[in-house]
Amino acid sequence: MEKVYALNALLVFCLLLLLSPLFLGFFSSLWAYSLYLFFLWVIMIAYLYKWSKKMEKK
Amino acid sequence: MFYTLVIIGILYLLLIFLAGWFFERKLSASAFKPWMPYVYALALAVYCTAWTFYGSIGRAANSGLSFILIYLGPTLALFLWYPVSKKLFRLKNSQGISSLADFLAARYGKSQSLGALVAMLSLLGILPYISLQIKAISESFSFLAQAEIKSSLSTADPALYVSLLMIVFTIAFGTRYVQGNRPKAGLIGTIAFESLFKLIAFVVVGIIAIKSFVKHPQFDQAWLNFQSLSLDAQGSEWMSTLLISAFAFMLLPRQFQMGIVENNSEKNIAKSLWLFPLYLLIINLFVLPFAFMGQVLSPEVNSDFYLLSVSKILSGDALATLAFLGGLSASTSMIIVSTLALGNMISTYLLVPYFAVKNKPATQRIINLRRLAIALIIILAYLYYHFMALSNSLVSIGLISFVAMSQFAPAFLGGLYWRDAKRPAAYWSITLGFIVWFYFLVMPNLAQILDLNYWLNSSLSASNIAARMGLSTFSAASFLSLGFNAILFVFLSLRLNSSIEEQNQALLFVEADKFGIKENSPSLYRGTAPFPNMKALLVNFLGSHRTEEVLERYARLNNINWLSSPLADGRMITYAERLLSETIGPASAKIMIASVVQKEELSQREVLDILEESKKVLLLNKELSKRSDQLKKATEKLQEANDKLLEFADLKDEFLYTVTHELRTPLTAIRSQAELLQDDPEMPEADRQMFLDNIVADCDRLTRLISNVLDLEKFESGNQKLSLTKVQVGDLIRNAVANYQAMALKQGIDLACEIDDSLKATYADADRIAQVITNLLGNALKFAAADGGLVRASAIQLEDSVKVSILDNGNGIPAADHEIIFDKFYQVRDQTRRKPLGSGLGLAICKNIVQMHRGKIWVESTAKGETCLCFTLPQYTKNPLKS
Repeated sequence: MEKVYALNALLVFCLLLLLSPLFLGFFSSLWAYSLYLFFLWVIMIAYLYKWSKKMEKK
Repeated sequence: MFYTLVIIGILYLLLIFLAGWFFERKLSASAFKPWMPYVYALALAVYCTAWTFYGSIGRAANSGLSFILIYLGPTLALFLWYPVSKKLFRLKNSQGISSLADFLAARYGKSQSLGALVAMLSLLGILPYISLQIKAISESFSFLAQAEIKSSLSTADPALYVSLLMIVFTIAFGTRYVQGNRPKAGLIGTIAFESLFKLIAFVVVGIIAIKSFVKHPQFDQAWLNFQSLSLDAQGSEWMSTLLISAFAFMLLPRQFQMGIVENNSEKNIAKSLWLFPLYLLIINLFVLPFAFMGQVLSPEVNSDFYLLSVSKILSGDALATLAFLGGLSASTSMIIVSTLALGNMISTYLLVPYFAVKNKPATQRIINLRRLAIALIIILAYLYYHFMALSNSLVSIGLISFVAMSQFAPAFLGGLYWRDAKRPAAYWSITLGFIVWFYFLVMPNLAQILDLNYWLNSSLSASNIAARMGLSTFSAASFLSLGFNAILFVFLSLRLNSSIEEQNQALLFVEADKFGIKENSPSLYRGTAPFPNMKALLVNFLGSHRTEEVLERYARLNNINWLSSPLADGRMITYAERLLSETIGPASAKIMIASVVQKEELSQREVLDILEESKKVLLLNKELSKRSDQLKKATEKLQEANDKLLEFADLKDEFLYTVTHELRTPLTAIRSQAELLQDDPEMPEADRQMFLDNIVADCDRLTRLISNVLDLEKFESGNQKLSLTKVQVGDLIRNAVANYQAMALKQGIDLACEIDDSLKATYADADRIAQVITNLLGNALKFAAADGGLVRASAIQLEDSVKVSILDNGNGIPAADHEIIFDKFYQVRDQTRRKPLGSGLGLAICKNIVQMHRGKIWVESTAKGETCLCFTLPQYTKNPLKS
């Protein structure tokens, strides 16, 4: 189980980078960046959903 | 509009009182149990306040997407929330924790001073945030009703009445029990209801407004603005907002209250991991559209109120009122929960130690002090709103509170995961963090109010220091306050020593998962206390009813008789301390327990041994409980088998009874007729012949019955063997029909057969299949209608089997009996009630024969009420017994 928590911590770090404005250079406008954030958020929720199912079974 | 809004507002507030009353009664019922994870996830959405409704849109209008970070921070925090919240939930139960102040005080050696510091600083940090909600209610009302906000106190201010109602609600549903950590169904249900309401309100308003705006002439302009806007954001600002909002999600008093204190099961946590961020995503979908719509539709309006102005312009007062109610709902839920959490902290650490513990009885006094604290907090927040917050935007106040509460993060996380974290380190690092926070985020506001221009312009002013660092004031405040705080915390923790009690508490907290501590802490007391003294202490703080209840439960679980055990042992003392902690906090509980117990300190080695022992006991209990479950299941299975055996025994008895009855009836007839023949040698020849015929018929009946019973026994014991040969089933049917034709004619029944031309030969026991067909035909003739009777025997070729059907136009068989008419026991049992014309074993034999051929037999009823008995035989091209 601890490995899963470590993986999550690593994910948080990666997400911090992905969410940061460092990535803004790849996007031409706020509109494109909004879409990017939206999909990133949906992916985060999907991951949390899968993880929560695992926790529920435990 | 003014009076409409007043009436709708009052109706909404009445609705939440009604919801509180309803959930208080219903939510704890077992029927609601499956819904609790959803209720819990919705209750966590108390995070979304009036700031989400108004401030976020204002921020989006002024600085684009940065508002989203306040919601992305908690989403990131949820990746690590599960282990943290699980541990906190266990500690809440084992240590009697009711608030963040309780947690920190208990972890750092049950420190009264640390608890008091956390309570005071939380009040300082959150009071402006509560006032922000009052401000949102007041300003949104004034905006929609087009009423003027008076800077002086006024009875015409709607926020005054909402504040008073919030006092009443929080007291009514938040202070029902003297134990602070007992989940309150009415409260959590109402907060979940408000969360759902505000989400629906925002989404409905958003959809309707966008739908109307798409056809609006200024749509193109807004779309152009949206597409062409570039994002000029500072990386440091993004990082600091994400970090601060992630900490705020864990440490804000309302989040701690809903996430930990009001949670009634560990199982609720998992579902909230995805439901809560999904909620945040949905509620934020319409923020940017409203910001851009507001900029083109109502540029003259304060951007915080674009939601109201846009919905009013696009869809009129009704939609704007719904938006207002959503904002009201968000504000009221935040006020209720924050005030309750702060009220618990303030009363436990600042009021109870001075006004309750020295007076007896203390139970009602503690509840009253909590109520007083709640009322004082809301009144202070209302005054703060009037005299301090009128000039600030909604967002600025909210973020200041977030940074304030983040100052507890190092001591909080260190307390959970670092055994070397020390009380003085926690105390001074929190203090330092708050000083930096005050200097950077509160002082500039104060300086403006107090006209301290020399400070504002000096090189030491917050904004100038932040500018020299190349950061915004907010980012500088966040990084510096948290940075200094964390460094001092680690430095002092490594340098200082701690008391044995603090070390023991550190062990209990950090190793809570490892030692599997869930409900009760293991006993960390050596020595005993007189039971009457302990009971008197509990009665004073819990009341006599609850004391009797908990002592009775404890005695039952531990097999203790208080009359024969006048001394409370270490475990009992630990249990009593936990009960007191729930009521007066861990620090006061420690003092109270010390007043009746002569305590001896345990070394850390001894505590570790106790914990190891406790872990072993827990594992043993777990194993025992597993074994007990297995035994329970095995007993249930045995019981089922026993019931079945009993049922079979009954059926067997009934079977024997019926068979012997069936045998006796013809035997009696034979005997009486034989006696007549014997007694009267002069009997006329015709009568003699009739009696002899009857005797022969009865003997036939007896033979049939005995043959059937023997057949059944053979089938069921497996002694019956099939002799398979190639058989034309059609021929068997034709023969059987021909045999019955004379009888059918005599009874006036139309008997015929319809054989499919494509019917193929199959391997079967010809004699046994003929027996089945004969039996079914015999039954059909018996039960066919007396007038205009009709019997049809047919056979058709299926893909891999032959289907035979025997149809009669009798009274039919009830649908309920279709499954059981082939059951010999059923048949026999049924005979005792409704005498059939045959032995009642024929169908059971047919079923056995067909099943031995690996076929199926069943009953069908046609639309006309006719009965059709059907069976199939597998299509074999080779003898299956030889292959």
